[in-house]
Amino acid sequence: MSFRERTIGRVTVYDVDGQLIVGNRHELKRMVLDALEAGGRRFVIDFSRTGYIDSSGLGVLISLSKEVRAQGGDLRLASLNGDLQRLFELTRLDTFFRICDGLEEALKE
Amino acid sequence: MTRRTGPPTSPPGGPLTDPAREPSLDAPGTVVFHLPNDIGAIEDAVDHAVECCAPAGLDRDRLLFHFRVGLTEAISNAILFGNVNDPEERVRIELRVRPGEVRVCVSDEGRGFDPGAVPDPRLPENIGKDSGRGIFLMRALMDEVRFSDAGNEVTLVLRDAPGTAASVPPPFPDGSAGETAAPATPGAGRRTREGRALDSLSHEMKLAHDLQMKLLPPIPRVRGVEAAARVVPAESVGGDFYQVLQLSGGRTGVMIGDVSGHGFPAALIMALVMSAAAISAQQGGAPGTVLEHLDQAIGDELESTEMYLSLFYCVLSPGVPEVAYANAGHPHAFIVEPGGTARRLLATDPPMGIGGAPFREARAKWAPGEDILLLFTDGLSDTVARRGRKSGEDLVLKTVARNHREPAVEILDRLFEISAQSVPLIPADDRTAVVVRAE
Repeated sequence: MSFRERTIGRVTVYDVDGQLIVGNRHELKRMVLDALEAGGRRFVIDFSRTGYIDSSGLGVLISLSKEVRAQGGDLRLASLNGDLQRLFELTRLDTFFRICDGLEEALKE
Repeated sequence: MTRRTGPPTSPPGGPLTDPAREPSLDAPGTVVFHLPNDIGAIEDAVDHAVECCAPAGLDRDRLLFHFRVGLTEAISNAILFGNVNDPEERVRIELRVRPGEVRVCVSDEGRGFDPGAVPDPRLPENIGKDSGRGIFLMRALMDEVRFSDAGNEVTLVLRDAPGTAASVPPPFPDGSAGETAAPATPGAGRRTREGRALDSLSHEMKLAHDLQMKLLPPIPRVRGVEAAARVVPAESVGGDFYQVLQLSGGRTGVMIGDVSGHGFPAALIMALVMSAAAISAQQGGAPGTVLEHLDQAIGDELESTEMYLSLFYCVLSPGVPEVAYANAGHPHAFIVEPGGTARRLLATDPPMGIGGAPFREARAKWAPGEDILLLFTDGLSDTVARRGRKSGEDLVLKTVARNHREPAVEILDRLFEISAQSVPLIPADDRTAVVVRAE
């Protein structure tokens, strides 16, 4: 399992361990959508243990973010290392997501 | 789009090795390996390639990030677009490693494509799209990216000279966040630990299964046409379906489809696709047109759910020695001759949800009353896969050849018998087969 789910207060946090790529993205999507359906509205995906993300991984984050917004929720990304931050900047997706430096910032209301 | 025709050529490095990774040293610093056409194989392949790159002595961050992302994109493009997800095909990876530079060449066995036709994913109208960033990322992260003229081979180069990274196209002035999405299909089954809820859930799943089986259309009785079809879902519901349709002029339309994944998400899309497909096909259009109408009807749903769909559709006309078909990435479509020879009806386009209009059409020789049209999904051949074989496709084809003179429904029974006897090596997917003989 590349993804760990935990709950901090009213926020569901996902740790991405390793990579988020074409071969495993559906796993993450399924987990978040299940939590959304179960009534969760605040989500943080934490990348402090993530090696790399490919375009399919970015795709699943976009699709999840749109889905969460459509249900009146909020999905934030946290703890991107320099490479990952650059990936979001290169693709201009830094304008699409709320990206937080660390988990602490991401958990704030 | 450029299209490569003819059989796949043997790579210069020697004969294709059998699936997995069998590194062979062709020249000093060169490693060649082949991957099965399976996105699940990408992660290990990329890790393996990274290990092989050690002698280049590149900056570790550049290797672990730029190289891994670039190579992942190249391989997933080859699997999904080049080989249109055909499990029979493979991806060839050639690595040339020398001090200060790694050069990796990824080639597939399929059609090429036009990398120039890919839109800038950073434009405001594209920023909210969940696909279309692969080539952009390769170009942004590698020092050199070159596509072959045929478009089925890409060479990526990474050098140990930070700062020479490929020119990143200038940032787009306006960074608005793009469209907001319509809510997509609510996700899969609910998760609950309470026994009562589970009971009720399993009851609901049983109902869902029955409902889905009812959605599958009855085989019409048409004079001169003998058809049999069956779907066995892996979970209680699944994403496979078929259609056998009576069209005007005594023609018969035959379709098979396989929605990516299985379970509820695939089943929801399957129900949508199947009804849209029946409407498109009943209008009696040519196969390419039917696929185009269907793509217009469901393309948005596929995109928003990130699903894709392999779909084969053909029209058989009485007495006409030819089958007209369109095949969006469906790997297992065959004409089996009475002598046992099986001719594959190759994909004419990538799966729906990955490719798009226009959908091409092809024709194949067909002996009315003699040949058998055989369509099935991965689930059937994977279930009969045996150790040492890439897939159970051979066994499925042999079973049809051996029973060629039997009624269609008997042939279908044999196919599901062998599939039930075999110990599955690959977790079972939905299993579907369609057998048609027509005068």
